Amino acid sequence: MPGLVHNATNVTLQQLMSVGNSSGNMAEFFISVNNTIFNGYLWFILLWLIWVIMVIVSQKVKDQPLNNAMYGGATVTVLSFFIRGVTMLVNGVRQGLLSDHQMWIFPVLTMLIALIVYATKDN
Amino acid sequence: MKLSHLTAGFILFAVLTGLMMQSYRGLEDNYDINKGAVLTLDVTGLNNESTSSTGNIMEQFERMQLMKGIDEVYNGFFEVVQLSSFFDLVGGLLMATIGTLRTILGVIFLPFELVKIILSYYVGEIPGVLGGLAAMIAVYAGFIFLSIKVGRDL
Repeated sequence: MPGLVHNATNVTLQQLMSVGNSSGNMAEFFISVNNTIFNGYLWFILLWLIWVIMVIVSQKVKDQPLNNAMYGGATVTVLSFFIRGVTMLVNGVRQGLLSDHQMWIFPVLTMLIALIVYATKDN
Repeated sequence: MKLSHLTAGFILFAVLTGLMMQSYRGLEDNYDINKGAVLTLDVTGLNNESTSSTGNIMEQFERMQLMKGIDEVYNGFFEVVQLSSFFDLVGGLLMATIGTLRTILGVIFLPFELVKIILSYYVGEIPGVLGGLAAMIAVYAGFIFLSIKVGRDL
């Protein structure tokens, strides 16, 4: 049936059981939720949201879009490095909250913004 | 735009690349993770021999001409500062000169190398090369049109 959401993942009872069966370990639960329900994109999207919120909040303090994007990016970069470290082995395959491709986007963009900010300064 | 700011921007870029690589290596050692995604770039050598370099996106950034140039200038000056013989002085100065030339070359090819590495890592090799060329043309055409609009050299 046509609607706003296309190709939505149908979560089966078996998948929900495997998510719930996390032996009381918080990290294991978060990794299961991220990989089973959100196909590994939950924390990637959350980090983007944190970046956007930080830029909006800091814009209210001082109006300097590029600088604020750079500072927000630096914070999100540090967070992404920490989050990349949270992993576990599932049937011999290492799963985590963030993949390498997802993690590197934050430092690369921050570095490019920093390069532009410092290279185009007027005074 | 001032040349000193441009240089500061490039040095900052080089320092940050090194810093990110150190953080990632620390992550690999302490959290026992493996490189999840690596990029292999084919580099054609002087005698048309094809060599390839494999590493993640920051390791590829470290191999950019600009980074190598800055590194060589730094090493050259370091050698001059820690003099022990006449040959050290000549070698250090020569190294710094080659480093400077490489840095200038690196700055000219920066848009190409940067976009090529980023697109190759996230999309594929052919979009990487084409995107790099497009970025190079866009940046230099942009500079020309901007200087025409402003009415002076940038």
